[in-house]
Amino acid sequence: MIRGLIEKELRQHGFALGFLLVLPFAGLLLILSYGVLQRAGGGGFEAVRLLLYTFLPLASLVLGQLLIASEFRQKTQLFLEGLPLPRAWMLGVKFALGFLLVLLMTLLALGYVALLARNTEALTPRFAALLAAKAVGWVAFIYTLSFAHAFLGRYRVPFGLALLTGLIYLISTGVEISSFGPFALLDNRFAYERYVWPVNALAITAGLVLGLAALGFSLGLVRDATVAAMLAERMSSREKLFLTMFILVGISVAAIVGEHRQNVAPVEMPGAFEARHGVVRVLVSAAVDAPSREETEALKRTANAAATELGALTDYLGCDSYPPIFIVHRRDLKAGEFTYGELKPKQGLLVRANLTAPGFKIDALHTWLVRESLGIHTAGMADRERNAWVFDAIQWWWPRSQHGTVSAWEEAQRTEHAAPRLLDFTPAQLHTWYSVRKKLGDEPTDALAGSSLAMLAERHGVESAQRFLFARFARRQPYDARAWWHDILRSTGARLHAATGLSEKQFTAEWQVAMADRPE
Amino acid sequence: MDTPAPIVSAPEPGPAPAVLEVRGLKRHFGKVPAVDGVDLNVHEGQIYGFLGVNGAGKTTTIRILLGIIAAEAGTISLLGETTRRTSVRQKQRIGYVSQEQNFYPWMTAQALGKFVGAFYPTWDAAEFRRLLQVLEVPAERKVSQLSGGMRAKLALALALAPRPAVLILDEPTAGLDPLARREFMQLIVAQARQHRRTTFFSSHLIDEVERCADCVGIIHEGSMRFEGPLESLRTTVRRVRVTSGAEFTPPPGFECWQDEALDGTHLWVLRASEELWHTLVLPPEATVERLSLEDAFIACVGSRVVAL
Repeated sequence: MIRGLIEKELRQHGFALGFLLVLPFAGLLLILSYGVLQRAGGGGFEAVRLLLYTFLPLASLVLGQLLIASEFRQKTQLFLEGLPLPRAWMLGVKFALGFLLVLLMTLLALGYVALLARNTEALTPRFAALLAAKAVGWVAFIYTLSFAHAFLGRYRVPFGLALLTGLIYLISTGVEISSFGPFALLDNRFAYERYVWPVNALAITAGLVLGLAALGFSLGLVRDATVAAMLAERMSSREKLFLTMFILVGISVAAIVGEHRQNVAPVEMPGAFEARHGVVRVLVSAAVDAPSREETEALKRTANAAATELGALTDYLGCDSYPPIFIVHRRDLKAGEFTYGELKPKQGLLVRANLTAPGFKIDALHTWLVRESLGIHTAGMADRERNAWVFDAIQWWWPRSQHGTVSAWEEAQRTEHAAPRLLDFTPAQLHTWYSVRKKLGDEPTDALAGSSLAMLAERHGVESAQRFLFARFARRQPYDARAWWHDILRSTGARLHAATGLSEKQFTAEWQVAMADRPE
Repeated sequence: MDTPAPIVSAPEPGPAPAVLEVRGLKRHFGKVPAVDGVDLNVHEGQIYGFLGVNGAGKTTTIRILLGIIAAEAGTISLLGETTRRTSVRQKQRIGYVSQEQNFYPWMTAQALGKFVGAFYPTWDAAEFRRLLQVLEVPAERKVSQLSGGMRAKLALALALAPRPAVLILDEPTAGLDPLARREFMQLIVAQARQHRRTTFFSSHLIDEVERCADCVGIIHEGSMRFEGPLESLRTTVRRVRVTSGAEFTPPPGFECWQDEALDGTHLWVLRASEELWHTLVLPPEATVERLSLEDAFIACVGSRVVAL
């Protein structure tokens, strides 16, 4: 029975299977004859690593298509089902045949290279066993992945593309994929490591292999193989349309993310005064030919003051990183006039200001820096309308609360007293903060927002306010879709509740009561 | 009109033992009951016509009988062995011709025989070659180059070469022209009579069943509506036509398959034993008509005549 099945597969795909078996040797010879890898060290085993990384996944993919996908696509599995043959045997033979082929391919390549290297390499049994174990682990992982993938029928190509894109994205985000499970087996120590067994990587790979094999067999057997048969049906027009849209959106998102992820050179500011405080780095320089002594002093003073101010803020918020701050002194600007420099968010924040202008106030610069640097730190999420009330609040409250040590409630009461009252205190109003700002104007809105934190600190303690601000601002957000994702998953309301135990409704109600109690 | 209740007559007493007995077979696809409590009794040497409209549950029943899909409930007694799901060993004693011939297109008829033969311990290669000759299937021609009729004949040769105890055919003539259909069914009947081979075939073509089958089972919406000899269907099912105004109610013992008023005439299709029909008292305006198998089938599956 099994022999009949094997003979059928060999007769059906014999040419392709033979070609797959021979082709890697052609590739191997090509790599070896090129000689670059030999000169780089690692002998021919480095060539085997390259072969396993490039050719083997392709060969496994082709095998999956030949042995599984083509059977279901042509519906010939219905013919096999009519025969006195357990379905699991049919799949088992296909699985074993393909696996043996890729295994043979790999072991032959390893053996061939070992033969070539017998006079130049110290081929100890331990080294040979290490090479074989790592290669077999990788082969098993790639093959079982291809096996399970082949059952996805009409979704094979979109799924494969999504998997590849995901992998590229992970690598581009700096995830050390080469240190994970099966990928760690083929890391750059593959051709050199002679003693240490990658126990962890082998264990993870074994788990993945078992999981993928189980997935493949489940897809092929579950509900009397009707799932695999259904997946192998042709794609409907609606599905094609949906997938096209999905791919277009995916490409657009990837392009946007890619643009944000472009490596940017760190900003150099020769001759700048630099001050550091914790994770904060402030550089101040003068865009003038010959700065006066007064200007030089102002640069130094500003650097130290900004670093101290922002350092205190980041310490308070518990930030483990912060965008670097660049301040450029310009004589042509007015006091209190701060303009942006052209920097990518990843590079930091650049501001131009006249630091020696009559009437220049360092506090105003600090307020501006707090707002803009927190904006970059949170990838713009702090300034989303539903979060903006906290953003306004911290700018008002931070300097007045003596860096979060007092509630500043009395000052909040005094300042807000001059501002028109909010019509109501509801979570909905917090979520439409731009409308509140439009209605009240900038300064009253800031004061009103600040009063919320002042109330929280007054009634629940300054630690409560710090916990909430920590939850909102501590974590640096990447400039891509993940920031949106995090913001959706953990809204300001959820963070408020987690930090203080108050829901947004309770918080606004308490705020309203506190505001009503203030002296007229 | 009420849907006719499932009517399954008791197995005809006779010398032939039952080869295939099915009790309470059930299978759903999602929420749709494809097979809902099917009972079957097929006796040795019998040609059993499994009749039903498209989507009635014929193919699902056959796929369960062959163990291709599992039943959710019920038992199958096949060749003396009772199981929930037909085993490989049982399946090796069944010859199967499916509705669509999904052969490997690159194989020749000869190669296909060699491949299929590996799964049957009783495979008779000489018989297969003989069958190919008799059925005029070119042995060296690839399947992709065979016509639909040729493929059906090849499927029959593959099903008969292991000399199976039971032959199961799922709408084997679907897609064939009338001539090829008649020729194919003649082959089926001939081999069944010659080898006294139990043959179970499904069809939605009434004339085909009428011409070939000894016994008929009617399935509708997953349930058996009738099972028994063809003759019994002809003699026990009749139509009573009563002109409007006349009083008539089917007496006890008569099973009502159809009850509808059309153009001032009331029609009943009733089933009862011949003895009961003789005792039936009808008003003067009423007449009793014998039905063709087609009319009996239509009444059985509950179709209505629609006045346009």
